[in-house]
Amino acid sequence: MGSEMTLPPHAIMRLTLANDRERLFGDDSLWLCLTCETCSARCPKEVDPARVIDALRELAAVEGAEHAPRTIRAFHESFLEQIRTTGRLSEVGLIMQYKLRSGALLQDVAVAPAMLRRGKLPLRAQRIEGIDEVKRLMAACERKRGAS
Amino acid sequence: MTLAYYPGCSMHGTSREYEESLLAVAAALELDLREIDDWSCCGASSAHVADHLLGVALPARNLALAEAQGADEVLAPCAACYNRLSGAVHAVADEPGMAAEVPEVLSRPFANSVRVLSIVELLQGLAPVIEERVAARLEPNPLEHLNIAAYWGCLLVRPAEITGFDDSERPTGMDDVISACAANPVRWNMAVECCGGAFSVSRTSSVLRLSRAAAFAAFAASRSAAATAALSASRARWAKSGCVSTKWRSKPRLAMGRPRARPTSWVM
Repeated sequence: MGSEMTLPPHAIMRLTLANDRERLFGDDSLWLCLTCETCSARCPKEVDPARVIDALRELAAVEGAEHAPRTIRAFHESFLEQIRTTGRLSEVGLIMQYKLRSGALLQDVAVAPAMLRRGKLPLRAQRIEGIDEVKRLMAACERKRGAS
Repeated sequence: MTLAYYPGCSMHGTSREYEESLLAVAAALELDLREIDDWSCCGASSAHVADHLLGVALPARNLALAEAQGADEVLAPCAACYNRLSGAVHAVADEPGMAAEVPEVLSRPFANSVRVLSIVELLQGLAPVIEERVAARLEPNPLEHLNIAAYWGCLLVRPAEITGFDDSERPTGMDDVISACAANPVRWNMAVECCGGAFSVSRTSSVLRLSRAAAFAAFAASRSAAATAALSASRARWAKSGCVSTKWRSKPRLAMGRPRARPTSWVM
């Protein structure tokens, strides 16, 4: 994804060293990283940009400086919301929530019939028995993040 | 052989054919896969972006369950789940404070004693058995002399510290399995390139660009087929392009077919 980023991983590392938050957080490059880890695996200096980018995204969210494109933010929010509700990811639920959050209501509608026919879109979500445990776990992580 | 099994969410949805082929292969190899009771989502794609601790704790809950259910090893056939589960094992073992913090947020005992197996590790270990079964039972063998390009993607091989394959740039595990099926593994350039899978919903154009490059390179190298153990890779291609049809064969997953001569339809 480096070729689609205004700030590719090496630029992100440079700006991090310079503590240039304005440029790092003022752009969607951080959010275009897929954590494919190619930069970390191939860095001749054994730097780990993938971890740094994950940490920067957390920091951006804490500082309220999140410039994630709407679709990407909608995806992550919908994903975590699914886990919070059922303990697992219902892909149908994810897509429905994603559409509402992102406004991309008609995206991919054309492939739905073929996927339904092949039984790839189970409409009933699986709710696990330990759902309260998962909710507590997610709340505990959130509290810790707030405290740190 | 009995093995604890973490299916992950997609195996019961958009990648159900992967689970169907996995279970058929397991039956043929006399593997008894025991699904971890009450498993939950590993948080792949999103949890680690939001919060590092959450990205470790969600997969760790499943490892703790596996432990409590008496498992030493867990099979995680989905590449993303494998990466998150295996990443959690290493984070808890290596990162300061994690060994105490994770059981605390889990509210359950967690000794971090379970080993996470990918589908490739499992099948590579069973390659002699596969070879013998394929020779004895498949007549004629539809895979014989077929050129197959093994596509690994990111999550099975990187970061190398947590995955531990022989070579993160040119891993050979899948080639052993392809050879055991009497097919020919081919050398090609894009085996460990990213397919963009995690953006298949939110930034489809990037996924098409990346997957298309890998699919065309695989086809150019093999002239016949590509094998992949990466769910989102094949899902992205299947769902979006319709150019690669998936057919079950006796291997983790074979996406077979020739990209149609309408490359423009791949790009949105």
